[in-house]
Amino acid sequence: MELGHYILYGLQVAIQPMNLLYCFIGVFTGTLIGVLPGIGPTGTMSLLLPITFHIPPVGAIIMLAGIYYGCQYGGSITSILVNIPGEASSVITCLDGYQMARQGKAGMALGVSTIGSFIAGTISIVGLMFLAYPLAKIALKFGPPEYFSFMCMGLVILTFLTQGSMLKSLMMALLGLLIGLVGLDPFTAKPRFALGFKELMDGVGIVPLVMGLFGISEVLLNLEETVAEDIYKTELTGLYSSLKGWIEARWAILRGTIIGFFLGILPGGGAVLSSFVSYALEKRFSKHPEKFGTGVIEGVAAPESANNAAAQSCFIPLLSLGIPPNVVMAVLYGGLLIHGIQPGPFLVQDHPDVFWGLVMSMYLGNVMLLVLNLPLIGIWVKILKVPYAILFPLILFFCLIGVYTVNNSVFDIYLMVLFGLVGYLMKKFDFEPAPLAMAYVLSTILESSFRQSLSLSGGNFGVFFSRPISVVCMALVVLMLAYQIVSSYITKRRLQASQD
Amino acid sequence: MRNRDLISGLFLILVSLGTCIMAYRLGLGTGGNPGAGFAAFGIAFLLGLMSVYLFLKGLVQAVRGHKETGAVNGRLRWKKPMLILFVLTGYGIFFNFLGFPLSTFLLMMLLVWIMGRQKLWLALTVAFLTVASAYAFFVVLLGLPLPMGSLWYLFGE
Repeated sequence: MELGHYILYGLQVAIQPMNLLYCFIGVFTGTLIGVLPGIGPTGTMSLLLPITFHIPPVGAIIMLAGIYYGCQYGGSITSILVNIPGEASSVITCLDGYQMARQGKAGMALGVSTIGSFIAGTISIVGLMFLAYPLAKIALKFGPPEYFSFMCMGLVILTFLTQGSMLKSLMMALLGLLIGLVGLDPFTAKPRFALGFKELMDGVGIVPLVMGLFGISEVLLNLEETVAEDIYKTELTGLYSSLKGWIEARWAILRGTIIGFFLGILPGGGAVLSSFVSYALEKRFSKHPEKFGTGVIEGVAAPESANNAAAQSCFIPLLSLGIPPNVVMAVLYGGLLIHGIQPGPFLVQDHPDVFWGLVMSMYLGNVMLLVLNLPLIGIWVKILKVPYAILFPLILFFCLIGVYTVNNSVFDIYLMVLFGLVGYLMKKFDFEPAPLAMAYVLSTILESSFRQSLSLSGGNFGVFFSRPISVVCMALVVLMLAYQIVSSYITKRRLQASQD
Repeated sequence: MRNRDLISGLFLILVSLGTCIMAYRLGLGTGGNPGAGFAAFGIAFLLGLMSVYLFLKGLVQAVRGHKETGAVNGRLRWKKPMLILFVLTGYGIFFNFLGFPLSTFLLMMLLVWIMGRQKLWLALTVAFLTVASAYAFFVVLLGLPLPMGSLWYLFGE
């Protein structure tokens, strides 16, 4: 079948009534969690993962994907109206969005943000459609050394871009790899690090790990903070924006889309990184950079377009190479595996319904989000008024039931509580959970490709440095590590010199 | 917390040491035929090296009396979070015995009370509505096999 046929086939899958319903549930839930500060897409996707066991794989993936790109839309609402980012990717929107709300331009900010997100999302899906398919064909030429090097590069880029110390992020990535090795060895069937628990023979489950690290710990951290629950009182007029606003925002939307699209593909990148980079670039190339932070429309349009473009383009490495570029995609990767679908070059070939159905559902999902976020914005504003004392117990309850229903095992509840404690302490000790979760997901395939490479080369470690793709990836790994070491040394010396 | 790097470094040294020993016992194999513990040993060894560096860095800072900066999340107000974790663990312990409806009711009552010191009627209402809607959704609609509790069998006998 040619590309055109595949697109029509995907549309056929996506417009099936049940798939439309799953898509709506996904984008609706995504917007909801985007609006509510506290729980993010990672936690929600893992929370809903057990429920998806009861629905067909295509519907499940359409729904889970909808949560991710849906929450990018919702995240901007709280940033603009309350000055609290609903999502990490909407942090930067607070700067100008909230200032616009204070000036009575909340409607304009929300309108540009939503329509900009829609444009960016739609363009990004076109890119996804035309890039993922040929990339999957190229990926067929990847061998174990290429996979190993590429995943190493992804992990190092993620630790490089994570906030805080790179050393600590690397340590968490290593810890995540170790947790991923718990269970039976796939080559020798020897039990590893199970500590006598028969429940650990199959390994540590992704659901208790991710729910604990991102769901439970996030609620625990939020308990410590007194979050202002009052919404800035402003009339939501001008949602469809004035002509002047659109003229000012049009290039910012386009630039944000391009930046977001490419940063989304990058391993370790995603919606968060792209929103920050696009804001910084927009400010740098602006004719009035001094006005940024005081309520300029470009400061809302660029990051919101970028995070939506990235939220769609980050599916490219997952679907075509089988490599999740960020932690949210890592959860989706786990979800696909649970449904018996191996993401990677063979996905398009073996499960065209999943691949093309998902891609085409994204178009429909974006249209649904446009309706949900423009005419129905009043509903989301009302939801913001639900007290956290009721919301947080409900989140915890859904985590508990969600994790139990995976295996009908109370052990998973204990495991999730343990990871909740670990996640909470990690934050307290300035460690980031994202590298741990991503490394955990990649660990099985990383170890397999490492051992296969060594077996094929007769124990020669040079195999990772003798093939073109592998060499480039490894060189980037070395360069990034060296850069970090040198830059931290220089900073230290400068600090010492200034103290002397 | 006096020095977070010191504590976390020491903890991770112990983790990597333990993992190295277990991985060695599993068998390292050879380069051409790696054993079950080969990758784990390498990873734990690297983690150990980094942990030692972190520990030493923390130690130097502690000796110099260096004040920790940038501790956005640093303050450990552990009472409420620990209480929540304790309640969640308790839910796991009594889940099969009390059953899904009763244990969920008690859980929600406790959580609403701990988190917001809400009025009793509000906590009761939230707990009741949660149990009723969760039962309707998970048990009736999705048909999930949630335990109804072995406690009731005791009364039956």
